[in-house]
Amino acid sequence: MKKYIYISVISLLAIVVLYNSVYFEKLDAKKVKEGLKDFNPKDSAEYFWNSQLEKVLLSAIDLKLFDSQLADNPEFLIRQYGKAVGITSTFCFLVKGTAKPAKPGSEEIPVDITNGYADYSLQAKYIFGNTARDATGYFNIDDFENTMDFNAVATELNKLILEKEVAKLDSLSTGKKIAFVGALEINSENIPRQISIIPLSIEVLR
Amino acid sequence: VSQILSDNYSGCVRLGQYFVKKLNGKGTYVELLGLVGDNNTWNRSKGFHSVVDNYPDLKMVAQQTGEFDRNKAMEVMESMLQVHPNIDAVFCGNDAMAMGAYQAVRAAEKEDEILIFGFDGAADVVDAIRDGKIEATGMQFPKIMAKTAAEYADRFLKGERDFSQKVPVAVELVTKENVDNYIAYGKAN
Repeated sequence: MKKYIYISVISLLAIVVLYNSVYFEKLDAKKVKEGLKDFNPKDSAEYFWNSQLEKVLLSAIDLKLFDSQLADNPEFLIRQYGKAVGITSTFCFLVKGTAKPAKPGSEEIPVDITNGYADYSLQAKYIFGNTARDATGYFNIDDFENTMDFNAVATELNKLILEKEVAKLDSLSTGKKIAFVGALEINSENIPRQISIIPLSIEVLR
Repeated sequence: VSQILSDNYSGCVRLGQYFVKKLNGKGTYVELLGLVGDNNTWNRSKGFHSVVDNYPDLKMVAQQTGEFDRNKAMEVMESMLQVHPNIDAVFCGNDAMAMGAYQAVRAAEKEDEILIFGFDGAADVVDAIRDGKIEATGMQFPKIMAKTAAEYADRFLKGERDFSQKVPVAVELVTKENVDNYIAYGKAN
């Protein structure tokens, strides 16, 4: 009899200990409880677009100034205004100017600049790469767990550019002038004479 | 303290843009991936596809791993050519696979019909680009990465602690047009 009481007590103790040692919980619920969340590049890009972009665009330099500095003193231009991530000879800039779309559906629109050092065009169909992300100077690679996440934000930002700004060009009448703020990149070891600009903001001028 | 790494994604965006230009935005191609468990494989592939997938007339008809290995890539390419004999191009996740793919394409006597693209900047591919056998590669700069790592280590030992956690090193596009500016894994001057 004593033996059975002893075994019962031990078993009861074991059950109590095990019950409190092991529990099952849905992973999503646990992550929410602990404030952990899978990184969402779309959310990150949208947050920037909706709440930070306007402020960032104020730092854009006039394209005519950019062009004259590119011709006369590219080292100063890069030092003063260029943004880069890591070790590279490619620098990104935010510039503002005007353009007049001539043909609907064109991949590129020539930008208004007279006797410029370089020829500039506004990207009107495809947006690639990290230029837009890096030109803003807003996204810091050290804030991301890995480079894939950092690049995913660039991809989402490019989608937003296509959806929100480049799409404005589809419904534009031929000959209507636009003002833009955009991102471009140059290679300091091989200064280009043809430069593409990615539009971050397009405004139709009356 | 700090990770110094190649900017594979941006390098393959540039490669993808050149790929589209060389194929005039249309044609069929295959992709030889690196090791599927390697982040580099996916950074390169994603960079490439972020450009190329925007062109509906450019169709990827097969995608398979060559495990970053020349011999494996040659075998995989041989199989792909049996199923897709009329492809226009192949994108390889590294130069060893590009050379393996070239061997398979040459054995099939299609070296004048199929464009081959690699990634790394290896000596044999730089020479092959000069000879017109390979179209382009993304040049990595391991000497710069090693030099930077050594400099950072020295600064760390001297007490500095403020380092960026990740330092991407740009990857440059090497083509027939600019190949004379480059040597294996570096610049000519």
